[in-house]
Amino acid sequence: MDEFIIGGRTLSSRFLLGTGKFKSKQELREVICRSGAEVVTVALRRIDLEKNEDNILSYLPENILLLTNTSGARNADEAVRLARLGRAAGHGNWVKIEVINDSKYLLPDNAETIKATEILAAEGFVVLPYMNPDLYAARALVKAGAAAVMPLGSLIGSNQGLRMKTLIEVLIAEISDVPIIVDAGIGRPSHAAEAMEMGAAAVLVNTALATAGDPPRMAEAFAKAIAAGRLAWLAGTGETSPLARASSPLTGFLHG
Amino acid sequence: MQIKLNGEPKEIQASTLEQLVSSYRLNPEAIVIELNNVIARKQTWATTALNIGDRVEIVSFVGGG
Repeated sequence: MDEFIIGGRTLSSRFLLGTGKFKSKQELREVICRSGAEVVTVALRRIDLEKNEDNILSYLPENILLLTNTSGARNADEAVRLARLGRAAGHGNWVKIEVINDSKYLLPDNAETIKATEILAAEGFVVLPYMNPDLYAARALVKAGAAAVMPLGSLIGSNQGLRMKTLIEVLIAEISDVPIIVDAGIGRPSHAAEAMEMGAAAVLVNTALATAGDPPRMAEAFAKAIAAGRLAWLAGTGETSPLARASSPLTGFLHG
Repeated sequence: MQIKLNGEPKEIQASTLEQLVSSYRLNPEAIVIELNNVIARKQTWATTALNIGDRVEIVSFVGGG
């Protein structure tokens, strides 16, 4: 089995799923089942006291691992507060740090993310920080105790694919202590396959599924693309060449 | 008495966190409570008294990426 490990936990699916923006919780459940994902992200929000809404947890398959995000946090302190609230809910100690202070591009603040990672890792959390793909920041995150590093492929929810490709390749080449998981911007199965072919350990996808015509079917398409990309990475892709290289023998022609 | 509940001023009858939770018919398993910026564990709800001006946050998991 081609497994990988985050924070001491062995995972066989390299497809991490975000649970936002689905039409219904029933649809979300179908998406999760069809994706084969073992880890899903959730957010924490104030409850609406006026209407008693369905609890999302009751729609998640058993044994799914919850990765609480700190969305809404604008600095390290707010991220730490959200992470602690998430852990107090009693569903594990995995946290996706997301510190965002910009409403137009939703870009993560690497400096605050490093601070939050250091505090939470010291408190025993399994910390997966969402970050701008910068090598020095990634090294600082690993040093701060991150269990994985999650660079953005492109802007959150944009479905633009791997706009940050070169910088993510640098992280994959240089960071060997923890898995590199491409998060944000992956819009199609081909983007996910590309990330896996590059050597990413896993991908995290949400909007591409939630905004698909048929989300459960798209979940299956992504699962296959991720598996294919991973297999290609393990197989080792051939070199590219600026000139043609004949695939058939250049001898024994019938002419001449 | 008046407290601040999820950022809004609220007039409540409850005198403990447990009574507050049941007055809104909340599922205790689905929520986490913070009282004046400190997480209040479920085991302490019955014995945690509410006071005028307390800031209570009640949160739960929602879908998110």
